[in-house]
Order: sequence, then C-alpha cells, then structure tokens
Amino acid sequence: MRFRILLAAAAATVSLAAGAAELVVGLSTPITSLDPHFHNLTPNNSLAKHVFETLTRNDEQQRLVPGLAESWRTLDATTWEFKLRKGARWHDGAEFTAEDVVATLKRVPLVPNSPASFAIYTRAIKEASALDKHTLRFRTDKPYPLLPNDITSVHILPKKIAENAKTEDFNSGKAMIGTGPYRFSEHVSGDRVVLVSNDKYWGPKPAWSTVRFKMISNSAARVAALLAGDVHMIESVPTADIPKLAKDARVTLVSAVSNRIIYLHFDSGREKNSPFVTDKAGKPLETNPLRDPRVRKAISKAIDREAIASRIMEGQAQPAGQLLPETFFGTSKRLPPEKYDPEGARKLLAQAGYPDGFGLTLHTPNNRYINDEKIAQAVAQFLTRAGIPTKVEAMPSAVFFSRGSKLEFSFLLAGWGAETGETSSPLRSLLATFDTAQGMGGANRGRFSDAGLDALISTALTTIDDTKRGLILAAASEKAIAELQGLVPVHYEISTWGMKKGLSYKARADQYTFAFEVRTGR
Amino acid sequence: MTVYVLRRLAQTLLVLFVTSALVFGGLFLVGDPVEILVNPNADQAEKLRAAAALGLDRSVLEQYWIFLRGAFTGDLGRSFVFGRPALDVILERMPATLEIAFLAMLISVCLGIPLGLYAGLRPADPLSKTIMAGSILGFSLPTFWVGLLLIILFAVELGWLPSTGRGPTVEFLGLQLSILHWEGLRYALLPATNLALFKLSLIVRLTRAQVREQSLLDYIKFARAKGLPRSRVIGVHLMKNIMIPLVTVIGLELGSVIAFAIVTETIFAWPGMGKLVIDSIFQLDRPVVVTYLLVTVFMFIFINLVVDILYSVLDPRVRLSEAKG
Amino acid sequence: MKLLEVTDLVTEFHTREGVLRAVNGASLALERGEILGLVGESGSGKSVTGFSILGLIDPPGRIASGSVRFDDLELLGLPEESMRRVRGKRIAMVFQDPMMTLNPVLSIETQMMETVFAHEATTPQDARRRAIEALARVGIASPGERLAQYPHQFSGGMRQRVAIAIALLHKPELIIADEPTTALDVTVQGQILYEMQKLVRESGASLIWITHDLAVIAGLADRIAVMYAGRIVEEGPVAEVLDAPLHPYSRGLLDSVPAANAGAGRLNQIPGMAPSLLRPAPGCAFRERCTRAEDRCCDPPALTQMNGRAVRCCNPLQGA
Repeated sequence: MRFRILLAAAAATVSLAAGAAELVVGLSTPITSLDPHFHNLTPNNSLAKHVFETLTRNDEQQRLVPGLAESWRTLDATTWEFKLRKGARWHDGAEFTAEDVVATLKRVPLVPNSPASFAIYTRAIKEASALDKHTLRFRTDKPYPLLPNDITSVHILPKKIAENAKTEDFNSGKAMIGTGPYRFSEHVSGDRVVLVSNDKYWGPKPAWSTVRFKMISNSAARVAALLAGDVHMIESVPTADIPKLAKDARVTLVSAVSNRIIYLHFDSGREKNSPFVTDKAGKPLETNPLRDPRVRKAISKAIDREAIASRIMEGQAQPAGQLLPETFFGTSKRLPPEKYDPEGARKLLAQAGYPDGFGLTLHTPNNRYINDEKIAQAVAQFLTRAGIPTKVEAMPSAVFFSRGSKLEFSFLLAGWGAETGETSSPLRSLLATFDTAQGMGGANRGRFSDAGLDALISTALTTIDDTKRGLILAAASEKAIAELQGLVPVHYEISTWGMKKGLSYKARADQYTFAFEVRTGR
Repeated sequence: MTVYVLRRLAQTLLVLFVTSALVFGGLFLVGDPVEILVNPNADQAEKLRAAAALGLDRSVLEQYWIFLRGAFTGDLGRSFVFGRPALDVILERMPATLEIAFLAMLISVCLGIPLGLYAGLRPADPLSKTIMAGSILGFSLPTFWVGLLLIILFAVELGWLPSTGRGPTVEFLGLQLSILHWEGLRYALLPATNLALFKLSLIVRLTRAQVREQSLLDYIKFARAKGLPRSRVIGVHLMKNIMIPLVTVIGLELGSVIAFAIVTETIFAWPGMGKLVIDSIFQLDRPVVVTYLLVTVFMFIFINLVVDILYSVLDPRVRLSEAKG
Repeated sequence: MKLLEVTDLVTEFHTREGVLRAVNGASLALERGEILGLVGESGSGKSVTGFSILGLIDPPGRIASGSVRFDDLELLGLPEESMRRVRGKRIAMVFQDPMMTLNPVLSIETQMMETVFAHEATTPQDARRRAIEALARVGIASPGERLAQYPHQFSGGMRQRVAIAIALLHKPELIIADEPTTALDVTVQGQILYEMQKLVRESGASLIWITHDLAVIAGLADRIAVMYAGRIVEEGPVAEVLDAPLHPYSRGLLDSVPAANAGAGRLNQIPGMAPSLLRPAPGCAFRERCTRAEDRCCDPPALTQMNGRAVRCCNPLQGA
C-alpha cells in the first residue's frame, strides 16, 4: 500500500505570516476548462485573467484601460497600431513580444471541439503583423471600432504554447504559462483551483501568496462558508441573505450595478396567430396585439419597477429605462425608467383597440438570472391588474433558450450582459433585424425589426470616432426604447460580493471576481 | 454460476443499450446544446460553427449511430463543456462520490443495525422509543434542509468541521481518496452524515422490524432451548437471518446513495459525479449525461449481482443457477 | 424424590384486551424415567406449561407465580445463566414443527456442534463425533455427509429426527416434546413415535409428551394429565384414565377419538367452545359445556385425590 500525500497544502491554515497570506474565494459557477480559448464562459475567463493577460482590459466600470498594450490608435479606418508593454515576462522567464500576440490570434479560431469559441473576438482582425518586438499592426475589412473592446477577452499566450499546446495541456497545468500576477498551481475539477503569486509581475506586487478558488454553487452554502471562515470572500451573494449579512459585523458587502439588463421581449414578427396570445376567454387571438408599439408601451407602464427592485430583488436591482445603466458608453441621458402608470396603460390599450385587454403567457428561465421566475411572476401580476391576464411558464434555461430561439414564445423574460460595455452589444443582438449573413439580431427572439434602427446600428458599428459613435448609439437607444418599444427594460442586476471584515474589493460591472483586486485594509 | 454471470452480463448490455437510446432521445427533445453553450454574444455564424464542431449539425439518428459505433470501441464521446472524453470526466469525479457514499453507508450500517437490534429486542424500552422517533425524523426531514442545518451547526456556530468542499486526498489503488487522510475525513464527515441520515433511519426500521418478526420464530426458541448463550442466539442465529433482507436493501441503497448524492453534493460543494451531472444536464452536455447514466445503470446491475452472490452465500436455500435474473 | 414437580403454576400474557391467563394454577409431577402424556385441546395451556418449565416465556408473557422444582433446583427465579445451563443439558425440548425449528441458514453441523459447546468445553473433533453419533442414533443414514447439509435439504421427518438428535446430545434427564409428530405425515408419525419411545427408554430419561391426540398417549405414556383452560383437570395412570375417565371433559375427549372398531356413525364432539382465558368466570371452567353441570359447579372445584388419581370436578363420573 502506498500512500502519497498529494495536497498537504489543502488544509493549510487560513492566516499565515504577514506578506504570505492566503486568500480563499467562493465562486458561484464551476470552472469548466483552463484553456483560455476553449469555452467562453464567465468563470473560465475570470480565472484566465489571473494567469494570462490581454492587450486591453476593462476597469471595474468597463472602461477600457491598457493591459499588455500600453497604447493604441487607428492609422486609418481599417488599420490599428498597438504599442506593447516592455518588460512584461512570461512565468517561465521569457520576454513577452508582439510575436506572441500574432501566434495567439492564430490559435484562437482553431481550438478543436470548442463549445463556445473566442473567435468572435478575433474575427474582425484580417491580418496581424509584428512590426518590431513591441509594435503590432491589425488590419480589418471594414471600420471596426469595437476591436479594442473585443480583445479584452483574448488571453495572450507565449508563441511556443500558442503553436503547440492542446486543451489537455492547459487542464493538466503544463501550458498554464502567462504574464499575469498569479501562476497556476493546482486544479481539482469541480472543487478548486489554486494559484500562487508571480513575484516577477510587471505591475503591482500581488497581495496574496496563494489564492484558492473554491466552487460552491449552492448560494446558501456559499454564505455559510463565508460565515464559517472557510472562505474569505464570495461572489453572487444571494439577495435573500443581504439584509442579514449587511448587519453582520464580521462581513463587508460591496456591490455595483452590472452590465446585465433584465428585459421583456415580444413577438413582434408574426402578424397573426402568435402562439401564446389569447382573448380574455383563453381562445387564440388571430391578430397579434404585441406588434403594436402602444401595446408594448402599455405593458411597460403597467410594471412597477421600483416594487420589483425593492421587494423581489431586496434592493439588488436598479430600475431600467434603456439597455445599460447611464454610466456606460452609448447610453442616453433621456431614458429614465418608465413610470408605474396602470391608468395610462389601460388608456393605451384602449387606443390600440384592446379596451378589454387580452391574455398572455410569459415564458421565463428559472435558473439563469437572479430571481428570474419571481420577477416574471410579479410582472404577470402587474399585467393582470392592468387588464392583460398573464400566466407564467418557467423552465430551466437549457429548455428556455432552445425554445425561444425556435420562436415558440410570444412574450418572454430574459437578460443580456453587454460584454463590450457599450450599448452596441444589446442593440446589435437583441434589436437589430435577424440576419444570419450579417450576424445581426442573433438573440432577437421576438424578431423585432425596424429599418431606421438597423441603419443607426450599422452606422455606429463602423464609426471609429468614439464621441460620434456614442451619440449615434444614444440616439439608437432612444429610438429602440422610447419610440419603438422594441423591448421593455425591467432592471439592471446589481452584483454583490461578500467578504470578511478587513478586506476590500472594487465591485465590478462585468461581474468578474479578481483576487488581484482584493486588498486588505480600508 | 459462470453461466449465471454471463447471462446477467448479456442482460446488462441490453439495459445499457435501451438506456442510451432513451437518454439520447430525451435530451434531444429537451433542447439544443448550442443555445446554452455558446456565448450569448456569439452571432449565428458562431452557433453554426459550434454545432458543427460538436457534431450537432447531423440528424439525431446519425448522431446516435456515431455514438453507438464509438461505444463499441469504448469511446462514449467527448464532453461538450470540458472537451475531454466523457468517461474520463466522470471517472475523475467518481472517487469523490464513492467515498462519501461508502462512508454514509458505513455510518448507516454501523449505527443502524445496533440501534435497530436494540429497539427490536427491547421494544418497550424508552431508549428504543427514542430511536424509533428519531428514525421518523430522519425519514421525513428534507436532505437539503438537514444539510444546511449541519453546516450552520457544525461549521458556522461550533466551527468544528469545514463547511464545504473536499479536503486533501491520498492516492490509494490509483484512486484519489480524501477519507484516508485525517484532514480529508473532516471534510467528508458532514456530507456523509447528511447522506447517511435517511439510510440510517431505513436500516434502523428495517432491522427492528426483522428482529421483531424473527425473534418470534421457533428456531430462535429452539436455539434458546438448546441452552445457547444469548449472545450466540442473537449474534449468530438472529443476525444471520436478518442479514438476508438487510443485505438486499443495503446493496440497493448503496446504489441509490451513489446515484442520488446530488442534493448533498450540491449543498456541500462536494466535487462528485452528482454535482457534475446536474451541471451537465443544465448545460445539455449530452455525452456526460449519457455516460453518467450508463455508468450508473452498470453500477446498479453490478451491485445487484454482488447482492445476489452475497445472498447465496448467506442463504443456503438460494442457488444462483436457479435464481431468476 | 420426584424429578419434576410443578406446583400452582400461573403464566400470564399481557395483551391489549387485558391479562390472559394461559396457565392458571397447573400442578403436575414426574418420576425419573416416567413418561407423562399432557393432553388438551389447543389453547388449553399445555404448550405454555412446557415452555414455562424451561423458562422460555417472553414478554408480553410472564410466569406470575407457582413453583417448578427440578431435581433439587427451583427453576422459577433462577438466574439466567444457571437456567441456561439447565436448558439443553438437563432438560431438552423438541418442538412441534420441524420445518420451523432448525435455523434455515446454518448447517446441521453448526447447529449440533454449538449445542455441544454450549455446555461442554471440548474439541471440535469430539463435538463432531458426538453429532454424528447422535444422528446415527435417530436413524439418519450416512450421518457424516448429512452433517454438512442445511435444513432445507432434509424432509420434515428427517428434520424432526435431527431435532431429536440435538435434544439427546447431552443425555438429558427430562425431555419435553411438544406435539413432535403433529406436523408430520402419518407414516412418518409412527416411526418417530416409536424411535422416540425407544430412545427415551434406553437413556432412562423422563418425557413429557404434549399432545391433543389421546391415541398416541395410549401406547406411549405411563401417566396422563388432562389440561383444560390452564388447569390440570384430571391426572392418573394412563390405562385407568383412558378406561374410566373421572372428569366429564376427559370423557368428551375420549369420545371424540375415532376408534378403529367404532364403525360408522358420527363422532361425538364436545359441544361449545373453549372458554376465554381473558376474564375467566369463577367456578369450573368446563361447566358451560358440561352435560353434568350443576349449581355447585359455580364454586371453584378443588383437585381431589383418589387411589393414585386426581380430578378437579364437583361431579365426577365415578366415586362421588
């Protein structure tokens, strides 16, 4: 019998000597792969950003800041030049150069069996060339202003690894060589990932000698682990526990409004026989009232967003009037949340020719967004009160999104996180006309379509000048929401982190949990 | 005996085939994995690429045929999510589930049989009545709730045991086991207890009922009339007889504890197969789900076979060649 | 000195409906080497009397009072360990249903050897040898091979022989046989009866043969005790009692035996049902069914001794 102690460190005490402290973080979603280009999933990306770095990155409010690139500019509408950081080193000691980036960009679209490829972020780059060790040039076919935003998701690998490593090599740890503040140490699938500090990091010295990410999907258990002192910090604090934890002297909570909007989508494509629209008696309705913007506006007015945010979300939501909170790029200053106005809703319904209302079924996932099913129930109650009797049908997201994409619903609740941090993301995916060839309207499950809006979005997507693009996007938001009611915003989710007293974290809009941003002291 | 085992193996193959077909068809009806797997920001082109990369662009019959062909060569497909052979993904998680399952059954058996014996031999004793009342609680309290209660009591309030996760492991016969390490055992104790509670109650009640029933039978009286000491009457005559139904139940329950440790694994963030399969179902990671069910069915059949063999060892009246499959 | 003297034995069972007196002041006595037939209908308390002698009454039953004197020992109130040393060693018992008596999951060898070891510290070889001898003695062919087998491989009659062999292992002074032939085929009954009698006579043991079958008793026993509703109602030498019963109940029992020469004609049955033992009415328990019942039967009758016989009746068939 041979016994080999593999992980003596697993039981290491929580507080070590000063300067050699360990941080234990409870994650809400399991990490599925260590290959930074295999499965585009928040927990995977979050972990990757500890070990690997990107040319550009987002600050906590999703504003672009330099990463491995110190600066960038456009030479003309389709040519970008990036100046790379000097002195950044790989974990094996080699120097980081432009060749590494070129090799990485080659690897991204070619990762075999990838269920969610990162190629969507590199596709616009038609040609990448290294002018010298620290200068890169990218060429695109069309003007592509989002290039710096997209590459915040492209984790840069050393050339040798980019050319040779397979996904298995990352999972085994062999290929986990980056430039990031932490080095990979251990991965137990579904249980934990352990990182150790990279003392040769070019940026600020990592504050923790060891970082242990524990995957605790059950939210009650995650809170218990924090209270028991088994972890120092947790993400996605459940809304129900927030009032209690806010009073707990052992715990600090930080929160920030996120880039995720919860919205209602309508079948605005079918003129007749929308599947779940009925008259008040429950018989199928031939005409589709949801195509009428006045009806959609009435639905928007019928919902008390403040009540949902305070009672169902325990304050962990901000009522929404557009696609992203106002602090984000491309938003409008003229889109406050729609006021709760059941009377106005009834009037609009009457104007639209439905003085007696009609019946609806609201479809919603029940395991995807914070309190998703409860929000749908509340919306249904408000609508029923305003004269649109609404049933709720909740289902796991695995079923919901498949059915939704097959256009099986008339009225659905969903959410959208704007990865790029600007309104072009939801506008393009949710509200642009569905068009496979152009890659527009990919998540437009209501088949909303408006030529004027499409034109605005297309223009914005090819306008390099940030100021101009911002104005076009704001105008597009106003048209999509206030004028056309292409979708009805409900609220923006607020993300909350809990940590033991004495730690601090700048809560992030992109919901990432970065150990290198966790500090001791106030 | 050999013929018997061979026949059982043939039946096993048939059951595995039917299971795979049902799961394949079932998951196909649930939804399209691409919708869940791809990043929401992905456009239609990326969805098509992902479907092609995962072989989901073919018809379901074609996909099933490819699966069957692979299965005969021992290849059960590659996990969509992990990009690794599904069997590897499951086998990697299996020791974690097996160890809390075995620990839970060990707790259930080691406590359940003595407690049931006591309650059965002294039905009027107040302690016996307490045991039986406790077993009703063990039956009726929801696992989920008890799990959280255990965490709050032993981890948060008393701080004796870790709240969640798996501790350090030790390699034993090629398996990574945590319960062979003292620190690892501390991590396993709460989930195993949580898992054991229901089984413990079951074994207590079953043992008691058997003791009550068997002690009235003549062979017990005759054993006493022969002048055997009480310890031998209970320990040999009674025990050997009550073990026969108990072994059946313990075997089946072991199977169910392994297959349905899902709730416990979720609450205690225990990285076992149950938690894996729940995540895989939500992500429509069909190769993992299919493989998991096949592994589970195989395990149930294997446990049944072991139970049958044990049965024939315990009960001389049963001979395997006569037993019906 | 008598080998066994049971005096005023009361055994009760506590049930939901109340206290049930299965044995209600039974007394009987046995000489060494004597065979006593204990007869009665089912429910008369004869089996419970047998188990009471061995102290094998389990809750909810208990022996409430009386005395069981065996040789120089008072068995009632004897510590469990001392009682255990009597059971199977000095007093053995054979049960009614051989299909239920042997433990189905233990080999005959185990069940016999453990009986040897329960009372003697000897070598396994010796225990085995004695087990084989005992099996041979009860007429089991190739006992060495059969020893390794399990009960289900034996027929009913063979199993009863095994049980008898186990009972005889320690050459007990007293054997209590509780209807050991009732559950067997008629052809086997005779053999077992014959061999049992032979073995008892050879070993010089005393025997209490509990039965409801008077025909069996006639050829086997020296004395007979008739039990009714938990009491001995008549007792005496077997020939005398069978020829001229004193108690109307004994008479009734005799009349209900199908005699070989009785020819056609209906058997006489005792009218009515055995009385409830739950709340026995005072007086003679048989009076409700008795053709000779009188008013004075309402007083409890005492056991009257006459010429080596005893009867518990106010209005016996002879004498009074």
